[in-house]
Amino acid sequence: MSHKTGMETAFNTIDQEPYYLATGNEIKMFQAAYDIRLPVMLKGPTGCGKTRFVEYMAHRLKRPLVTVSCHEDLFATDLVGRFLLKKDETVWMDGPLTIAVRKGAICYLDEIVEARKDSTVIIHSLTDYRRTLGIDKKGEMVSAHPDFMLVISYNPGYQSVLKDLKQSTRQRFVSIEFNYPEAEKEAEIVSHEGGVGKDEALKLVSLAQKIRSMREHGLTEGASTRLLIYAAQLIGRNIPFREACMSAICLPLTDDIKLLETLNDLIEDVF
Amino acid sequence: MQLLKELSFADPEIAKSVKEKIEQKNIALSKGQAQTLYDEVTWALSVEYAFGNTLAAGYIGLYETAKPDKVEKYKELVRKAGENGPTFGRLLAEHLVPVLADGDERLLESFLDAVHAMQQKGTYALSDPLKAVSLLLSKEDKKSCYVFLRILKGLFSKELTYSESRHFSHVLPKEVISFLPSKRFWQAEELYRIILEDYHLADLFFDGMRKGLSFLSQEALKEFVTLGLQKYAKDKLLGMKFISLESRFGADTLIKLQTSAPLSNVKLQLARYMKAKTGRFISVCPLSLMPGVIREAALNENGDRPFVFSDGKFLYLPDEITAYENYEENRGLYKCLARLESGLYEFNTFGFDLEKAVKFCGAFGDEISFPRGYKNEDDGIREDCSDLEKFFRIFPLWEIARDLFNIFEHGRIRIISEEKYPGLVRLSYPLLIREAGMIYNEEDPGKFLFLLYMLIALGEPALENFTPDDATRKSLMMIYGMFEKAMNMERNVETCALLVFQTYKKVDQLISYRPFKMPFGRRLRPDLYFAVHKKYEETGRRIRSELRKKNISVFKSDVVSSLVKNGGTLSNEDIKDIVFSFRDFSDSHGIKNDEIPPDMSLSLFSESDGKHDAILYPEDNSGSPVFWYREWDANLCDYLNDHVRVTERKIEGIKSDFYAGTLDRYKGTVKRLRREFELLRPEKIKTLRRWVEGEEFDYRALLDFAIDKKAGLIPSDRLYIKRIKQQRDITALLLIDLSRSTSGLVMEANRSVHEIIKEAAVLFCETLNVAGDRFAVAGFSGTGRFGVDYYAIKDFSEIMDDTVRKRINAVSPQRRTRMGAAIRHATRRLEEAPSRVRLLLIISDGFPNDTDYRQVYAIEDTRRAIFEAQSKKIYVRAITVDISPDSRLDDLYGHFHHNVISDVRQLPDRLLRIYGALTRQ
Repeated sequence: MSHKTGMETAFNTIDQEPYYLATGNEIKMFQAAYDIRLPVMLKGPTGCGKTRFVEYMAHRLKRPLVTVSCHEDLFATDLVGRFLLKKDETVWMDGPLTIAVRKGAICYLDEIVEARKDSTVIIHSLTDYRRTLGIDKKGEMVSAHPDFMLVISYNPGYQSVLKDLKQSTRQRFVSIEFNYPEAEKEAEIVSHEGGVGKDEALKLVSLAQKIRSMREHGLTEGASTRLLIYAAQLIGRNIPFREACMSAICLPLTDDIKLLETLNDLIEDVF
Repeated sequence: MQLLKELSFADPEIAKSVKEKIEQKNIALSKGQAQTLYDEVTWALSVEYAFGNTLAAGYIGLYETAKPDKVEKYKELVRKAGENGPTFGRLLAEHLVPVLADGDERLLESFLDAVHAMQQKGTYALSDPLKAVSLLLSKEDKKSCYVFLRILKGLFSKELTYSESRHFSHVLPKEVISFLPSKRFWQAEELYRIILEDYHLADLFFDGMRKGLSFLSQEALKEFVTLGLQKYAKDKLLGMKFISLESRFGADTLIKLQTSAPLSNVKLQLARYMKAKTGRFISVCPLSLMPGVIREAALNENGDRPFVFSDGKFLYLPDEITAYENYEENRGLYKCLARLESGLYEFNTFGFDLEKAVKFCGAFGDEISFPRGYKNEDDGIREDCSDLEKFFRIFPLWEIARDLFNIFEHGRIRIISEEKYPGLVRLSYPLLIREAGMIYNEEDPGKFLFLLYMLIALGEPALENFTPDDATRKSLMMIYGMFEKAMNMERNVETCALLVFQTYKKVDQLISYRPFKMPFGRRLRPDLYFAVHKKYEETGRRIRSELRKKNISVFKSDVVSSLVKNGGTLSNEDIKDIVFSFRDFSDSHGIKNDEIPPDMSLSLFSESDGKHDAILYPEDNSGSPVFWYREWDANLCDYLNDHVRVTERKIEGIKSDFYAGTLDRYKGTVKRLRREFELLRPEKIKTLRRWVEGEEFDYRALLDFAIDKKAGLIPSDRLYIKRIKQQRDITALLLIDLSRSTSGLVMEANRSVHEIIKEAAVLFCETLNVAGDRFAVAGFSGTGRFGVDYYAIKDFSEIMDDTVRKRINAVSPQRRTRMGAAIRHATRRLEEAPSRVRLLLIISDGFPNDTDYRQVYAIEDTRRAIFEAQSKKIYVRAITVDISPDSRLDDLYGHFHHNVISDVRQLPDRLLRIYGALTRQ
């Protein structure tokens, strides 16, 4: 499918089991929701493993996964589909959501608050007892495949009032809350994904915990597990600790020079 | 005495006060002296009462300290002055005293010259400068006083306008007194040079001093002023900008010349670092703002060497560090000191628990003897002090125990840091070792303990450098061995207590105690920590004994640390953790514990406050509209209908330069914020390209269409342009807490919390005006449920004009904070606004507090009011200033709905940033 709309979509079954370390009851909860086909909302800060979790569950449930990263120019047609001109004819092309609905995939709308409000409304009929998707242009009402499941992700720390998720949307989902894993588990994840030893991973996690406690000191969000993994991967490529942490953890978090200085001091302590 | 009697006929009060002073100071008045006193005072009284009074005090002062010829001089000069008018006479009668008491002829001459010069401008010019002269002499800063008098003479001999004279007579003394005492003399000399060249430069020099010149060394300031004056001679404007540090070149020169690092440059970074490292909010307090007793002690112990110590609330550091020859190293030292001190909190030094320590020591089966027959922690050795101090007092020579504990504790932190923070050890310990070396070279205090400190606390094999004799070496190594063994066993703070028990006797036999200096004055201060956390210590003790009655054992330290962490409250879960912590400890150390599993009833900890002292207010006759609101009663779990009366009042504006002054003070910030918010303001018509339907074709897309088609590719159907009208449909209400507590002064800003909140409101108004958002500003305060006042400062419909500005000028701290009612009223006002997005911003300095409205009750009602607002689609965001982050704020406002700005000075800028982030599209 064309990527001209700027959206990122993928449609495949995941053959190889993605690495995922459970931190609570999320697997059980998701499995139960899937069993009765309830839509799921994953809440949590950025980079704490929401997307990886969906991939893991898709593999576990042996369902294909369609991921759409939402953005402010995402139109309803980008999700549902549109007519295209082919030679002198018009041809209908299903969008990622329609494909997932027809084929019984798990459709994952990442960062749903970023999407335009009119785009979020079209999922409403899919998320209640109707389980249908209306395609206005074609005048078609598609009933969802029995295996279809809708998952959205949402970051509650999101700052803008103008982009909060509407209650009418929120109240259609079962929510699973994510947070940064506890130190031991996070270190295990960083060590596995970043390819560094447990000790180094623990140091990275301890650094991240300190950075996270600076939320009221100018940082809107703390260092995510994803950033720690990046740092670990750089360290694995023989980049010195300090530089790896600076590039992978601190610089992405803030542009404030003084804040960066404090972050640098914290790194210097650890390594 | 006869004369005094006669004086009492002239004025009994003065006679009485003279008599008292004579007796108090034990002065034996000769007949002649008494006669002079009588004659002069009665003469002065005949001129003016206050003059007579001052003169009487002056004579007594002189009779006590000055030689007779000086008294004669006094008489002559004051007589002469008095003939020129009572005010002049009184000023001289007062301020000549310290000058004459000093006895220096040259000083008197300078004084009279300066007075003469000022007198030429008018008596009004004398008051403040002469007060400053007396103040300098009382602080024994005669050198600075000389220079100051020269400045006065130099300046007031020039042709000055009336307003210039007034200005300088007020500003000059204030500025010179504000110079640091240790630098005042040579800083005043440079001011003198500036004024000699052109007195118009003086204010610019003061600006420069505030911006950083005050941190230059003597030579550096001299060089800077020389450069500035040279520049001024060539180009007046550039020279002026240079001296006031407004020009880039001036600022660069300052950086080049600056070797000392001022604390103000790193203060925020250090506080942030401490927060990240320890999870606690520990502010940084400079020496100059320390409480008097602490400051004196710090100065006595450390002289002008850098130091650090802390009490869990503040990290105490010198105002500036000049230990090294360059700025970066001096600045780095601040960081190093903060790094070292953070370990005490991260590794729980002050969580020392005497009961735990005793149990711990007992568990290791060592022969611990308690020299003072100590049995348990309730023995009452001294209740009103920390556990650490109690522990030290167990030993006959408590200083030895204290020093040994310090050594082992610093050693323990070093060992843990070496594993956990190798970087910290690599960066900071060399500085500690260097400092220790300097101390050792300067004096040789308590050699054995010092060597032990080097060995254990600093991990420095000091024995090579300091060559002790064999016996000392052997003892040192033995203790070191014990320390290493203990650290391999367990690394609690209590382990250090065990080590003290094990080594005290040996050390006591070996040395005759002399205190030794620790590098950077890093001796632990459990006394200060205790003083700050006394409230929690007492609650902790109470909870422990209450639990003991229920046959549940806990460690007090666990209770206290939980209280500190939760801002003074404990949940059921916390208590469980505390109980299990005791059990874990007992189990892991084989201590028998046969308690019954506890019944976690918490009723004993709830703060019940059943008083009902509602004040009934008379009906308001001012015609201000009155509204009644319900209130949530947390005890009843229900609303009390029509329970709170809110009066909406209008503020009468006043003329003042507050608004304009704020805009001037923040002119850089205002400019930046205006620019940023202009960007938030949408263009009126927005063109959307590449739409599937629209008003007209997008020609670029059509071109792509044709090309794609030609190439056999599938062309895009997004061929249209759409134009839509855009609006930023936001309504905001800024609700300001006007409680009395906001009147507290923020030392470093020299303004009250309230004034800074007002400044934030000014910036808010200015900026939102640019963004085009509809907004209102209101304040609230009151006493009791019938007396909540809601002050409408700016309504949504009003434009930002002088009326509103004057109202902001007039806003002042009132009474207390019944927040729920204020939020309900603000919600009502916001509800009337037609916008799609409605935002209520609350600025407060803490928790709600009013008659019958405290703690859980107040928190629950406020939270309720916020829920009610949210249910009406109003987004509430609270900003709490001037307190440390507190988990109870999450209860009050909800986790994602508030910000804490501990350093209130950041509020004006942060408020707008928060608003900007909330409303970005």
